[in-house]
Amino acid sequence: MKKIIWFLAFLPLLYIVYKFAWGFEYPRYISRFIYEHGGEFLGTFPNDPLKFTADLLGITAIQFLIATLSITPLRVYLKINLIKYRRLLGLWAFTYALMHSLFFFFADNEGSLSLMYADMIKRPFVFFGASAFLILLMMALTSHKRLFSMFVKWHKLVYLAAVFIALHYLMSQKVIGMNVAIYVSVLAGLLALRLIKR
Amino acid sequence: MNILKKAPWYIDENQVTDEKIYNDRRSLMKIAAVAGAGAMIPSLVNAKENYPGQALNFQKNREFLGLHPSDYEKITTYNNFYEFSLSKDGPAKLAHTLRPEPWTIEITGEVEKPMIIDMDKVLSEYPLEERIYRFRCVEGWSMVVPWVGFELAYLLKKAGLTSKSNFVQFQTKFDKSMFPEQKKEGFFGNIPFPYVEGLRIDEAMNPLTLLSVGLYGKTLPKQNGAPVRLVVPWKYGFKSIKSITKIHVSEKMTRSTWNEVNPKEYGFYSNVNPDVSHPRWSQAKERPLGAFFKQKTQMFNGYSDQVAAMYKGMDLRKNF
Repeated sequence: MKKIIWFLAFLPLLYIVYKFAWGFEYPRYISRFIYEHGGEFLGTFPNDPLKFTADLLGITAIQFLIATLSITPLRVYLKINLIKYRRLLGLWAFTYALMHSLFFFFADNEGSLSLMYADMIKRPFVFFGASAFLILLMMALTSHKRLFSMFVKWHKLVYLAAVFIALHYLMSQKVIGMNVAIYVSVLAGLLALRLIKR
Repeated sequence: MNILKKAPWYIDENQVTDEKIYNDRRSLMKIAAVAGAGAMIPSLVNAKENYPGQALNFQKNREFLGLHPSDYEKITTYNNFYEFSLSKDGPAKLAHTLRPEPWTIEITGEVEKPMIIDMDKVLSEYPLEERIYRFRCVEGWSMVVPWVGFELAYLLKKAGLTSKSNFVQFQTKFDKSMFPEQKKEGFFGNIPFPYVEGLRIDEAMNPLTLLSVGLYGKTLPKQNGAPVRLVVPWKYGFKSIKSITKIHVSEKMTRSTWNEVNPKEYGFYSNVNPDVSHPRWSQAKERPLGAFFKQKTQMFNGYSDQVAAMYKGMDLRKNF
């Protein structure tokens, strides 16, 4: 099971490498070899590489977050106990959120703290994204067994992070499409399940 | 008989590339790409295709030759065409339902001679020219497109302007059998249809404003707005409305779809302006399609010389 999670976790990264690999210049013998051995099947360089990468990293983070948040409802309602994989799933959600944030910071903001600060103030969706990231960061840092028992209360903040992430995702869109609506409804559903339990 | 005066920048000789030569050129490029040093893989793949569509009879406009066009493959697979899909690659896959023939353009409103013209007649009546323009999307990406078309002003002059011709509204065809997203309504719909856009009359009559019927020398691909679309290179891309079937000239400012959907984010003018941010992102830079690094966005998308005078004395922050 853990191996499957690791495998799934690396798929989006492999896909990014695959999309970018063929966009650069190679020595003649390599490009010739590739062309003669099935150049047809190669992907094409993404049309909008910055957006492509940022979106893929962000959406993967959301998928892992959904998986992480599904563990408890699965146990409560369907009696499926996957609790031992929750930490791994959560850490992957954090890892993708980290890559998404770093990518945003270095590629979109060109590594400028002042631009980033201006963005946070002026653009609420960046603020929500960054706040959610800080919560995930806190959780990742305290996810070790010993620390976890001390910080377990604080880990409830993940639901706040989920709300922030849903807002972040919704507000980044021009028009709310099907994909966004589905992800956000799933997040909302998971939150609702927690509230009902109380 | 063609009684339109040809502009001084017309090249006399017939510059249309024969289809066979054109295809040969592609295969030559392919060979060169395999043999050449540092060949890029995407160009190897692209070299295989012959651009679809019918070859058009046009002349190159020397005034607009300075830019290097984006790849055909990029221009035709990265489109915003909400009548088909919200995604960028959706239109290229779904636009096959559009039937560009037969097609008419109806001109109504404050004109001397309201009319309905057939697309065939439009194509034979106006001299087509190729112009390589920058295209900047409000979302922050950009490309360079070799459009084939004619100045909108020719058509408007033909209809005859009056003292009440102050604004021009354009409308994309509304036909649920051609545009799948037009079937969806209310909660499931994306934006209200039919899509409409507008220009002030001086903007519409500006020599830069084109009605485009093709790109890369062939008729427009369906996903790019076949058979006829507007091209206003100094404004954000959504102003360049696709698959036009109605042109309405009016006295008062016209409706425009994105302005109605979200007036805080999309103004009526929507001129490209690096100094006025979109509420959710900066417009100072843009991402050219296929490039990893951003480049600076120019005022009026680099067409200040031709258009800045029209906005003299206007507060471009208010009239964004």
